[in-house]
Amino acid sequence: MRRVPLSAIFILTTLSIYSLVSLYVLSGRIIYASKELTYILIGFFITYFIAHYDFRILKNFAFFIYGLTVISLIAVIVLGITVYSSKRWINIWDMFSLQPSEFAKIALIIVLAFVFSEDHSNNLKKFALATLLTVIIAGLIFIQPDLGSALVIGFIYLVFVVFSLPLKYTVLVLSSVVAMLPFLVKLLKPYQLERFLVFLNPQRDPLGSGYNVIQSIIAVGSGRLYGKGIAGSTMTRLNFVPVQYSDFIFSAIGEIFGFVGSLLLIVLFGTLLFSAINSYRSTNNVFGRGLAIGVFAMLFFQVMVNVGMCIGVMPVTGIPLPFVSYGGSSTITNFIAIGLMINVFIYKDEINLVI
Amino acid sequence: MKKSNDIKVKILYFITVLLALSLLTRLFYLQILKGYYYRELSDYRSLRILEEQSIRGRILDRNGVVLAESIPSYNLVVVVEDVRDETEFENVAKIIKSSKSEIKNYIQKANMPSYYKVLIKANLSTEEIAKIEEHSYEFPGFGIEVSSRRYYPFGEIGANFLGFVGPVTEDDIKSDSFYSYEDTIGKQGLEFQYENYLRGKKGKREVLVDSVGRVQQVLYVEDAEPGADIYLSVDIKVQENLEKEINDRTGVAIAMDPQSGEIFAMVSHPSFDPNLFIKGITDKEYKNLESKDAFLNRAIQATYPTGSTFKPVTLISALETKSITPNTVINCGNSITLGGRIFKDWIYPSAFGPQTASIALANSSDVFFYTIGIRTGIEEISKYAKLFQLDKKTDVDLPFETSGLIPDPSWKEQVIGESWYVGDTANLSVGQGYLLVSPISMASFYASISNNGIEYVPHFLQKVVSPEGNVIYNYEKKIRLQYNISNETLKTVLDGMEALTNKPDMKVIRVNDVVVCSKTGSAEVYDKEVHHWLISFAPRENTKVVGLLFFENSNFSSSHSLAPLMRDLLENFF
Repeated sequence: MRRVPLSAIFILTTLSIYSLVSLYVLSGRIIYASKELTYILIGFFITYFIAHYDFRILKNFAFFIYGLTVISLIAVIVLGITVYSSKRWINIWDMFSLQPSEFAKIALIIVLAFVFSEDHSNNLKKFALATLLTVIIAGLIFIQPDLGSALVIGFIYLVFVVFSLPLKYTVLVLSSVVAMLPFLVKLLKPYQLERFLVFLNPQRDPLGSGYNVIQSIIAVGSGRLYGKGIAGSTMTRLNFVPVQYSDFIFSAIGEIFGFVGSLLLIVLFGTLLFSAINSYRSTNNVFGRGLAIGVFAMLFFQVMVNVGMCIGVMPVTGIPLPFVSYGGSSTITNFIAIGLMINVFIYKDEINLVI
Repeated sequence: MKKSNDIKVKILYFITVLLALSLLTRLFYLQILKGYYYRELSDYRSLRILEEQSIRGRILDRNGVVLAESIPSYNLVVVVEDVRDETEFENVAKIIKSSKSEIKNYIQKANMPSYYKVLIKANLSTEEIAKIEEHSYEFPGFGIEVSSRRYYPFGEIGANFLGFVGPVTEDDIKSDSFYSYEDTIGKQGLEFQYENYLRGKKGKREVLVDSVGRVQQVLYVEDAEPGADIYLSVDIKVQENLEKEINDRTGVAIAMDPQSGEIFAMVSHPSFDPNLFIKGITDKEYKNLESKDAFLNRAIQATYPTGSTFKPVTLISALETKSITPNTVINCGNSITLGGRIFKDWIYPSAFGPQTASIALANSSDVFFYTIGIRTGIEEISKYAKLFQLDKKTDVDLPFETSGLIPDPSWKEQVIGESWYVGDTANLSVGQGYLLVSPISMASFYASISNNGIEYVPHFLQKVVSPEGNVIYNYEKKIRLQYNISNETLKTVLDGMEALTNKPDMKVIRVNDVVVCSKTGSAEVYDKEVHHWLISFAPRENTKVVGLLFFENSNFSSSHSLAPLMRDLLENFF
């Protein structure tokens, strides 16, 4: 238990407080905050649990975890619950619902870390296998449709390629994405494409797709230096910013806590990312490095896109803000990620695991 | 290996710092530099989307005469918050010939917050506007607001096909997201039919309102676009003339082009003034109109027994099935007895004697048609009537058209529960009995005879013109049905119709000596006066116009008495 560093506990606790306060202000009720608190407590437990065991054992389960994820993603498409016209959740014994696309991020990190840590394989084979594994998961998530999670998956993969393979593979990936762009655009739903177009030109539809962003910017900006506090945050309380529980939660934080609070939040995320880099560089274990870089990529991309979207510098995509947005699957996934990251650091000196 | 790792780690640190800095820069800009501005915006609390009504398109006749348009309407409104004292109500009341209590009553009924505009009187007269403007300083709480309202310059004339607009219903709002409360929508006629062309595009304004709902700042404006104008094939002058002919009788007049289906005029009387709906119709007026079936377009929404105007159908089926030839002579007595019942000719107790088909058609001899009808058989007659789609909607571009009824043995079995008698065949042969056809369907049928069996879908719309003046839709004539009547059959029918027109009491129809083909009809109605029909087309070759006159429970002495009216109708064209 003593293995989880105090700094990590401090960061995660503070992020959780941001989450609980904004959820309370947003909903005007305690129910969402208390549910989220349950997820956070489970999350802490999981982090401790994972930190405790040598991560390298996961190597043996990488494909098993991956297979389980693919099956659950297929289950979503077949049996899933439709919310806001996309199927993302599955019911477990009618008690709670899971969002497998969240857990898929961890599964992908583990399986890619495993693929790139195999010694007896050449770069081309690794690249081909990694690409195949990613495309399957990203594709299954994309058709839910959950563009945001699919983009996170894609970003994790890209970072793996950049950090695990020679530069020419990165060039290959980027140039094929560019080449396939016209085709990819056709795959987008009209509303998804519209969001990108609105981002490029906000005047395109200020009353429709642009509405959320305008509202969000007003909310953030109105927080000024110290924020409006819980009682004064009218934009947030009066529900001018929609789907806030997950996507636009940063606009609530900007309004409630102001620039000072937002600054602290960003510093916390920065510290969390630094810890991931620290784990990465501290170990010579290739599998462990992979886990660290994967966790880094996941957190980096989600923070960038979510906060960026709320302040109008990123297009609108449904990507939750780690530890802050409402949602059990997302919160627990992030805690797992932190668990892995800590674990890699703790076992940094072990190179090979002999079972 | 180690070195490249160092670079990679540096890159990671660098992009993390870069991300944090760029987010913070943006936050600094939003929250510190522009924080005051956004705080102000958020203090307004709410951003509202207001709709701006579009101006509804016009309806014009074939010569560009306006039949329906949206004109500005000046309304007296009050903002209670701005009213200084009670004398304001009295001063205003004097001008609009109302009373203080009545005005207060309106305000109470509106039940709106005090900063809202409440409508006191719509459609102010120019005199009222002048007085209100002159005395405006006496009542600062009151003001004039401009909105638009539908205006039908010709009043009752053409009302049955123009239709009217009215407030949207709950269902309209549910079925089409375009509409919201307080919108108007086409309710009847062409206003209904071409709603999507006429309504235009609404404008939107995104505004910030303060805590009491006052507009503080306009953020975004999207102007409304007026609706398109629709041009009709109708000639309003012809329409006016036909309305005069029908006068205050109950009836229908139609003039159409058989070579395209274009309708020049369509009268259904009694009618109504669509402007009444805009001004606000009283319950009494509405009930009075409804009791006269004034809202029913009898030309398309009602079906009637056709009387002898059906005889060409009987004749065509007899000739085409070779049951008779054009030269078959039938010696007709003054009546025939079928199943113990006597069926008299209309000329009874006289008799027409020996006749060929075309002469019998000119005479409208019932005995001749009973005879050939029985000879041809009910199956063939009903087959031909259905071939000409007398029991189908014509698909004229008006809403709520009704379809007719062509009886046959299986129908009678099913609906009446009786078997078909030979007397039923005789009745159908002369357009009596169970037969029901709408006037537009009859006009269309005669159009097909005049046009060698080709019948075009009757229609009003000619083209749709955008507010910028571009033609965005041009109607192309559509064939409704095409039947190759043999030349011999056609000649026999036309000869008969021409001969009828040349009879001394009918000859008046022949305006400027144009060869006109006509058929009269008197449909017997149980317990009431007969319906009178007269359908003519001219010229016989290359026909330009089909005219139809129909009088419900007519007070004319015979169908031949409609001849002068038909002449008046045709005079519009020749």
